[in-house]
Amino acid sequence: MSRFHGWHEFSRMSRARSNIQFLSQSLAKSPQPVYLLDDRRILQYCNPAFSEWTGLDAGLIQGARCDYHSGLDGNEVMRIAAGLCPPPEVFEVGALSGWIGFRRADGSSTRRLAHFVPLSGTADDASLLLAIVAPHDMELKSDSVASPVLPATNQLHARLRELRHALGAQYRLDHLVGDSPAAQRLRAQVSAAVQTGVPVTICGPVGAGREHVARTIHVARATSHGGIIPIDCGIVDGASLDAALEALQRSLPDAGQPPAVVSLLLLDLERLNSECQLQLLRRLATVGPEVSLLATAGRSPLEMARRGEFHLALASALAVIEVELPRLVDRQDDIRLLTQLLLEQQNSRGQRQMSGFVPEALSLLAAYPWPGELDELSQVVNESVANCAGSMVGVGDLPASIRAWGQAQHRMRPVARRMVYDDAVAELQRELIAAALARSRNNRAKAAKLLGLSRARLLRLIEQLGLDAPPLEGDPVIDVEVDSPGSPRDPHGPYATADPTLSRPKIDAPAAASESRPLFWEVDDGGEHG
Amino acid sequence: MVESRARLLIWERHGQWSRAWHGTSGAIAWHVHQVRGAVEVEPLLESARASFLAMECDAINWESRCDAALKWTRDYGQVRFAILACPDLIPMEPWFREIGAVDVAWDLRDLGRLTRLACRHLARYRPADLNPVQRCLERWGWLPEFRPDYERTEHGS
Repeated sequence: MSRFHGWHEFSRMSRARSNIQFLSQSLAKSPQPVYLLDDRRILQYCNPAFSEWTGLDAGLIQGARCDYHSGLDGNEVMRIAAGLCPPPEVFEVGALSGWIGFRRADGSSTRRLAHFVPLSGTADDASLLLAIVAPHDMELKSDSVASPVLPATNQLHARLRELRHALGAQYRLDHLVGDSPAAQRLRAQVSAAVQTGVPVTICGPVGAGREHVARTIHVARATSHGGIIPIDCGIVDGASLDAALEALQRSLPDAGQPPAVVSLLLLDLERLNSECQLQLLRRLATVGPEVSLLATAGRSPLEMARRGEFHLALASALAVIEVELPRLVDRQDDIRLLTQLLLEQQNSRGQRQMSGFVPEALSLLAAYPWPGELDELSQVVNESVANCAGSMVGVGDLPASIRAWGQAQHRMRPVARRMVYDDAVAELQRELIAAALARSRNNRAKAAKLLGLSRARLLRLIEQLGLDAPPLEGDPVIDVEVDSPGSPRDPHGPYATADPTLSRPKIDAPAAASESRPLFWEVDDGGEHG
Repeated sequence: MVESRARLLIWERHGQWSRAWHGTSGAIAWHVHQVRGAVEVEPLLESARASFLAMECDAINWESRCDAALKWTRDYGQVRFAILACPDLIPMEPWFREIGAVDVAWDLRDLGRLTRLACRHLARYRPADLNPVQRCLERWGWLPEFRPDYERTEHGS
């Protein structure tokens, strides 16, 4: 039986080869591009006009399989082959016309109408599909969907291919610019994420371009034929999560279709509520390797899981690799480069062309702390370009907020201060005691009560912190305190003066502020003082 | 006066979605603004940059509307949009989601799901510097001409 089947197959293939040889002799001189596909959509023959149109030698493209997808594959032959695939209906309904086209290596695109004719003799014959391509490019308009020769889905498919390529062009690895160590580390992490294909979570502050990096990884993964389905975890609920996951399921290829990988992008993962976390975990258990998982988060999901703030199994499933986005303030060396990049992106969108920022403006931008991260920088560049009348953006064209910040910095003394733990604690103690003393009108017994300290301890702290002050009238002196040279009660010390007002503690307590926003609750001391 | 940074904008021709949204109970009904063209959308987004935009798309206009949505999500990073599509566009759903649509509704039965998404998005951007009473007032939603002037209310009380 199997020997008979093998002979049958061999015989069928031989007939197919002889058919192709016969056809190729007839079609070689055709001025229109012509190609032949077999029933497995493998390109078996193309004529010289076809090679001229595609720019590919027949030897390169023959043998390639034409799959019907609108992916972003980097391999030129596969990309062109995908663009030549006829609408799948042709194998069911017979001859029809459809759009074919592809983007060339130089970025230009071509789109032509093709007529597809199935060629088959008896049932035993291997079927072939002849594609006769129009001699010139044609324009595809979305309002011609109702054209009688074309199935509407074919036009949508053709348009989807173009749109996806155009969108994909925005997300390229070379857009992750910067020479700083932080930028280099980011590029290395992204490259690793691209090469491995495992689930990736991009962690970083809001506005740092987390979604951009995630989409860049999606585009750069060579197997990403499929699309990307983003889910905003901050607003999603059970029903909308289900709808999105069903859309993901529908966009996966059916059995018999070419393999494709679709990315699921979870935005602001830390905002996903616990119910949806469980729901997502259950659904992810059923998806295969054809779904690539990407997520963005403000904090590491694994770290959140360790603190009990996130489902551990879900965090482990989503954060196999964590890419950490640096804050813009930590890569100030890159700000000049990023500013120029954003400006040139503006150039690529608009009519008006700008050459750059003047050095003074760039210096100001490089010094700014950028609390809003890259999003803020992008907004500042857009606003500056809109304000600018010439071709170079000057300091005067920068938004008022940036200029005001620069002027404020210019007038302020630079404060170079290093954090020292003990100093910081002492400063805080000083602030609290000063505020309590101000509140209690320098009554230390009352101040101690306000602070929840014993009076003796407060006095010790006052002395340690240099807030030393003589007791006010009515402030009783207790025996535990030992007078020492220089202390308030030392008659020869620095506070020894006849004028009691001069010996008040030198505390600039914000009395007005403490009245408007009380730091301490009133203590009912029953009219006693100490 | 505290102006909300977010609105629910419905870009449609015939108004069936706007009427349905107005008919829903709850605060969302008060945030609905029906618009009929991109020129109307732009200034509204400029004044409320975190709005939720629901766009009606059909076989003729889907491409231009998607281009506009892409531009607005680029220019106003906090804007979210959903597509109100006709069934002809089912093959395009992956694309709608790919460019950032938070949901795609095919008919009015999907209104509840969209409403919940819109409510949660608008809640993220409600004015934060309000006291509890003002927050309650804000939750009710107000037409612009009847919106309470919190500053005056506070001084008056």
